[in-house]
Formats: sequence, C-alpha cells, structure tokens
Amino acid sequence: MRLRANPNRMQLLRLRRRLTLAKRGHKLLKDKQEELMRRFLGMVHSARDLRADVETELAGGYRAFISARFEMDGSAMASALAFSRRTVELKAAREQVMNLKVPKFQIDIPSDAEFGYGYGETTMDLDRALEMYAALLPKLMSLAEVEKSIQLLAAELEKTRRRVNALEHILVPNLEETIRFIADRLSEMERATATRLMKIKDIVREH
Amino acid sequence: MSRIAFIGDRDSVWGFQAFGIAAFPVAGAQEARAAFETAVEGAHAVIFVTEDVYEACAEQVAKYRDLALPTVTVLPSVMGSRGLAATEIHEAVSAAIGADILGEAGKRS
Repeated sequence: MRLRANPNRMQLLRLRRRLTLAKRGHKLLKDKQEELMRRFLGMVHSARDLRADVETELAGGYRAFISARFEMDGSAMASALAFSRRTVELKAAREQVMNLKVPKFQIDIPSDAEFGYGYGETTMDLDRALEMYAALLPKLMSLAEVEKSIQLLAAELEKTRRRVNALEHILVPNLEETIRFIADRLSEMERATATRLMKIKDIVREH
Repeated sequence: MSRIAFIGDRDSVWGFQAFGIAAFPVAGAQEARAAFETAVEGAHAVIFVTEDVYEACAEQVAKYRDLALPTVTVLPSVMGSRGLAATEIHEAVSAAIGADILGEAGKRS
C-alpha cells in the first residue's frame, strides 16, 4: 500500500531516510530474534529434561513421606517438622538476558545440620523422605528458574517476531513503493517540463 | 525477597516445612486463591503450587507472568502429575515460534 505523501523532492528525501532507518531497525531486530531463539531453544531442552527428573524424584519423595504419615502420629509429625533446623537459604537475584531480567536462584542447604527432632518419635521413612526432598531442592530451584525464563523469553520472542514481520512485510515494502511512485512522478514532471520548453522554443522561433 | 512458598494439599506441602519453606496447606479453590494472595504479599520469591492450585489461581498467576519475581512454578501433587507444566511450556514455545515445533523437537532428541 502506498503511503500518503506529496510527490515532491522534499518528501522523497524524507522517505529515503525513513527507509534506511527501517532497514537498519529490521536488521537489528532480526539479530535480536536469532539470539533470543538460540538461547530459548537451549532452555527448552534443558527444562524438559529437568522437569522429567524432578517429577520422578518428587513422586519418590512423596511416596516415602506418605508412608511416614501412616506410621506416625499427626501431632508428632507436626512438631518434628516444625522443629527442624535445616532451614534453607535462598538467594534470589535478577540476571540480565538481552533486555530481559530473568530470575536467578541460589539455594543453600546446611547439609551437616541435623534435622533437630528427636529420633524417638520419628520413623525412618520420614528421614528418608526429607533426605529425598533435600536432594531435590536445588533441582526445584533451577526448574523454577528455567521455566520462568522460558515464559519471559517466549513473550519477548513473540513481540520481537511481530516487530520484525511488521517491518519486513509492511513498512519496508510500503516505503519502497512510495519512493518508487514519487521518483516516477518527479521524472515524469521533468520530462513534461522538457517537452514544454522545447515546444515553447519552437513557437518563439516561428515568430 | 528471598523466601520459598509451597501451596497445595497438605500431604504434598507438609514435608517441605522441614526446610523452612512456607507451606500453605489448602483444600479447595477458594482457600487456594487466598493462600496465593498471602504468599505474594509475604514477598516470597518462589511460589511452588500444585496443579490443582494452579488451575484455581490461573488469573492471579497470570498477573505475575511477565515479572521475574515472584516466580510461580507448577509441581505435581501426591496424586501424581497430569502434565500441566509441560502443556504450559508447550504453549509458550508455540507462541514464541509461531508454530508448533515441540513435537518435532521431541522427535529429534
């Protein structure tokens, strides 16, 4: 579609400048899209493996925990869990990926600390379940990290893709068409002037 | 802002209490939404939710989708996994690429 522009030299120059700008923007966005896509695909692959790992291990932990639940008294369980001293430390930060901020988690599990509950009231299954949970926590954190990053990157990729397409398929062709139109018009006007001048010259010479 | 929360049915979340993770045992969608609100207000950086809770809180979760923190992650509950998280990722991938490529990618690897 041709843009609305008066066919004169001023407009032609202006449109040409806009075209170079649009092309440069398109190239930059395209590069950005490629880089985002590269990182995104890597993340998707690692997320899928991690998710599968986490789900199987978590199921195992749950099984151990449920059998502990059957063996133990509810209040004993509640106090055992409440008195645990193995509190994890989470450090949450934001990491820059292109123009996006993605979360970065670091978790600190005091591995030497005892759970802190008496052994008399708790069962082996509880210990086993909690050990499994402890082993799982770092994976859980990286899963949270990578899945969030995927969501953020996906949104950004979609936006970038739209922009690239808008430039490539709409703005640039429109500008080119308009520039061509104005250039044609200008040269047509030039030819018209030339013939008019020749004609006038003829008329002047006859007198 | 560096704390972890886990919202879900009691058997799923209870054990994680031993690690200082804020466990929100909930039953039903109403409680789940209230717990989610509390978890967000409590400045938890990571909020784990079970699939049931995730479905109940879909609108609230959507508000935090574009923010780095808090990060909401779906985990299976003791009842097992329905693959909700995998579907989420799948949707994100097709939205990003503009085509459903994960089927192909699955075959490749």
